[in-house]
Amino acid sequence: MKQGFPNEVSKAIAESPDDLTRTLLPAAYARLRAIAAGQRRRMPVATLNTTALVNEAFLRIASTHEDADRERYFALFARVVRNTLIDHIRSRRARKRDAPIVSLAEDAPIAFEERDMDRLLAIDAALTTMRVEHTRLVQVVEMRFFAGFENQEIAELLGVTEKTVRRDWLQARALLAVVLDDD
Amino acid sequence: MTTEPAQAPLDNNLLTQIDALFDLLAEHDESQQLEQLEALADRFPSEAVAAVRRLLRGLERHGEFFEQPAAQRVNLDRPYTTGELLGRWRVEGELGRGGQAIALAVSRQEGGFEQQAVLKMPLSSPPSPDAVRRMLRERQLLASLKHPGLPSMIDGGVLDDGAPYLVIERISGQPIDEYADTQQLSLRDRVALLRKVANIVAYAHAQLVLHRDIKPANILIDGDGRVVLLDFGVAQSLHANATATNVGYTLAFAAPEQVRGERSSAATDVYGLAALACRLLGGEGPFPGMQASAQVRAVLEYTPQLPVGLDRDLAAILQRAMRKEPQARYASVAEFDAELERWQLHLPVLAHAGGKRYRIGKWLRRWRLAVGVAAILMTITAAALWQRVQAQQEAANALAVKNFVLRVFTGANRFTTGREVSALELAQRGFYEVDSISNPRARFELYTTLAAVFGRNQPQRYAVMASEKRMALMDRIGLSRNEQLHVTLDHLNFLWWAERLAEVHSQIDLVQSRYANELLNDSLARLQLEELQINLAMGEQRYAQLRKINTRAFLLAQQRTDQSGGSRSSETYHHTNRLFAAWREFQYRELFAQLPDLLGTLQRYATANGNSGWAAGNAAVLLHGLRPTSETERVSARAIAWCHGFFDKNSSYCDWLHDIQLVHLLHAANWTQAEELYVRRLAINTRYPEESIVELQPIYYAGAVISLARGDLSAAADRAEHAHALAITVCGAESHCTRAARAALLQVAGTPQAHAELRTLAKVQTDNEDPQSWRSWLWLAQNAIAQTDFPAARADLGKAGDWLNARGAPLQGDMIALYRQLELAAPIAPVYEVRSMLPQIDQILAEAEKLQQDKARLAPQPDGTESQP
Repeated sequence: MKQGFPNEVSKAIAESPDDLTRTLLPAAYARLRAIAAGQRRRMPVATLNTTALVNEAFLRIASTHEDADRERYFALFARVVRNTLIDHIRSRRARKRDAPIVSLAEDAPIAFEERDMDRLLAIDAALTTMRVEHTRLVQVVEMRFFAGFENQEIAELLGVTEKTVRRDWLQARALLAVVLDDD
Repeated sequence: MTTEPAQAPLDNNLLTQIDALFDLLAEHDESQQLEQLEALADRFPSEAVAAVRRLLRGLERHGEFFEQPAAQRVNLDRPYTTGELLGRWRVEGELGRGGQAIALAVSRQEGGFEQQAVLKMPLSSPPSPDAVRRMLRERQLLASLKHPGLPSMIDGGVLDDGAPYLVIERISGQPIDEYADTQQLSLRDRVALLRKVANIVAYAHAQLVLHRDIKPANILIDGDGRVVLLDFGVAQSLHANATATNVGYTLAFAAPEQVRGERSSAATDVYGLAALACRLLGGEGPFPGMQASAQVRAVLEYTPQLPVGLDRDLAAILQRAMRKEPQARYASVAEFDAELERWQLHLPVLAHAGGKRYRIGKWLRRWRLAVGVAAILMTITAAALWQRVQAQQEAANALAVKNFVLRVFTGANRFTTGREVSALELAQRGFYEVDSISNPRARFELYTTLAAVFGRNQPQRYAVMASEKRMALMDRIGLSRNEQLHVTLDHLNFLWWAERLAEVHSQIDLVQSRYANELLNDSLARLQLEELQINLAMGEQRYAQLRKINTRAFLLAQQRTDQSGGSRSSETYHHTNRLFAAWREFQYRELFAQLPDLLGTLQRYATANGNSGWAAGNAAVLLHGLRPTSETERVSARAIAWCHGFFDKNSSYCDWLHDIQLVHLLHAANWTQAEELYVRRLAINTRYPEESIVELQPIYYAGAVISLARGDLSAAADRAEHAHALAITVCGAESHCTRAARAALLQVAGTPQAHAELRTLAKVQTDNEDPQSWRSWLWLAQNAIAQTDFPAARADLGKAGDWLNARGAPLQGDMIALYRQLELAAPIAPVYEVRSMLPQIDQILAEAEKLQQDKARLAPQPDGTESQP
């Protein structure tokens, strides 16, 4: 009998999500880019397309595997988006560190971004610590702040009320703001 | 009250309470939550309320950060996949990325063959508005530049996300530095290559485009040897309204104004080319091996590190091109290129700048002058000389070093006796052997010896070369700071002797900044330094000032408690300086008052002081010139023999004797012999004119006086013109030497108007107490006689005679006859008692000769064994 994908999903999320992560990477990139583009072009956030994309992918899996866990799938997707962004920041840092050439002029417009990247790295570290006590808060942050889902989408995906999402988002931000005070 | 054991459960409870508070607060609008918290405060423990209050206040401060998704705060790099199509171009791979742009290797099928190219696009996707602007500007710039040395633009377009891209010719070649190294290019080839780059940059400048990021990686040489300058990505328009200063560049090759964020100019690319030259001609950039932060400082403050052993003209060109202030550099790349061309053609380069030297250089170019030795060097110190000789002796005592010297200098006995093979020749041979010795200390000692041997010999540059080697080694052999100071001061002397004025100035700056403490504590060092400054001031020949500085330095030296070293040489130096200053000004009375002091000092220290013979020799020749008798002639000849034996006949130390003789011959109106000596003095230095420009001026003046007296007007005109041009160059437009030369020119012109002008000038000269003012009055007297205006002649002659007489100087030979012809009573010439000084000079010379013989005994015998001293 053929190995069922949903089992893989569950297993992967529980143990080693590497393979699944890889399959989610293109969607994660597309998501990040859509978010960035929304800001650059001063247009409405174009995340809907990508949400549909992720959804479609999930539905494809679910159509053949009835036990596919939608909540975990989207949670993992949000985590991949977060990790992708953080990895990107880290690699930019490393490239900057290793580069023998320094371009001060380019630094100037980037200076603000540098500060934001520092903050995002701090938030990432704080989330890793928070996961122990506040698993759901972290999930909400990943889905909302990193993957750019709306509260309603998150509520639906996590199977909770929108009010709960709003509450978690409030508490999560309040806890994370402490980290931002440090810089 | 809380007790310790209750702490932990309470914490858990606290968290629950906080969670509960957030549950309730989430019901309300965010702007009202703090208010709501206070309303709920009495229903919750105060710790929980306080904690939530703190959290909400934190959120108040940072809420904005969470309003937009995180990805909007980061520029995302553009993804690409190999094989993907961008426009009509297929991506083959990445060539590189900078902060804002990425370059891909791409290709397309075009008319049956594959075309390769570089596709450049903004790095971030979606592109930032700034990146878009840059890309569009680069595209515009490239479209306006058409030159074989620049990659041509093939294509351009806009990507899906609105990012502009441009496609340019792909040059397959090696970066210029790698190319030069793998091809093992010679220095001349490398300079030729550098000029090609300069020509490309000059073309771009002509199109009003700056490059601003010239570095080896941006210059490729393809298989056909075509040189291509890449990456006008940071290029900026030269148009006046382009004010952007905030542009990328590579720090290692960046100019100071770029680091400061100031406006770039053509001089910025001049700097970039010179920085490239550093790498190309010496293997490293201007500030090698530094962290970025240190480099920022280095670029702004330090002198660029030029390749070790670089040709000195090239070094000067690079130094000029990399000056901190853009306006001090070459004004254009074309000028920089012209300098390199001059270097290629073995023409003098302009770079030895810094005021006078620069003007001298220009002057040299215009007249292609053969120059001579001059009396301006009379203030070369006895102290420096003493030091040099002492250094020689120390070196001779260092056995290892000496053995090497003996090995290298074949027939080294001749080296010491200095007859059949000149010491200079041997030293030159030895110079290139020294680097084969591994011990740096021994190398240092050898270079010290060589610098001393080269000493005052022409070409001076050998002494400078040896001295430069010493300077380079001194850090490695653990010299004390004070010793390093003295090595540096020696170097200053050598530079001065070679008339490398720009370098002298920079060394003086260096000494003052690096050895400030040592200078305060060591008056000898201070003395030496001031002596050099005096020498430089001698360009303007301000004798009064010279005397003042000299006395001040002397007093400083006297304060030294250590009587054995510093004050001994400084005393000699002090008296010698005063003696020469007096002599130059015809202050004979003062000169004779000074002589006993000098001789007394020399006598006291003669055994230890290597220069005593030299100073005594000068005194002897002086005395002989003043009172020629058989006895003065004998002492004078002995002194000359000593100088020739000790320093080598061709050494410039001995030029002094000739200078004194020349002045005496003029004074004695012995024109035939004076002409001979003049021609000889001129010929000596024609070989190395670049080292003798300052020295030449008084020699030419003397030449003009001689030919005027001999009635050779065309020679007189030529020499006076040279003297005048050099005087302006060396001393400035208003100085006594310039006025003296102008007087000679007027006298040569011979028209009534010129004579009238000469009269006006003579008055100015007299008012300024110019040393040569009496000669103008003498010429005026001769002119008046020619016009049979005897009253005027009498008046003018009287002025000349009175001028000399007031200073105790004897009348010039021809003047006595003029007084007689005009039936005028000649002033009584003062008589100086010379006789009593002669035995003293004899005694000093005897000591000096003994020193010389001791040195000779140290020399090896022909069979190579050494005799014991």
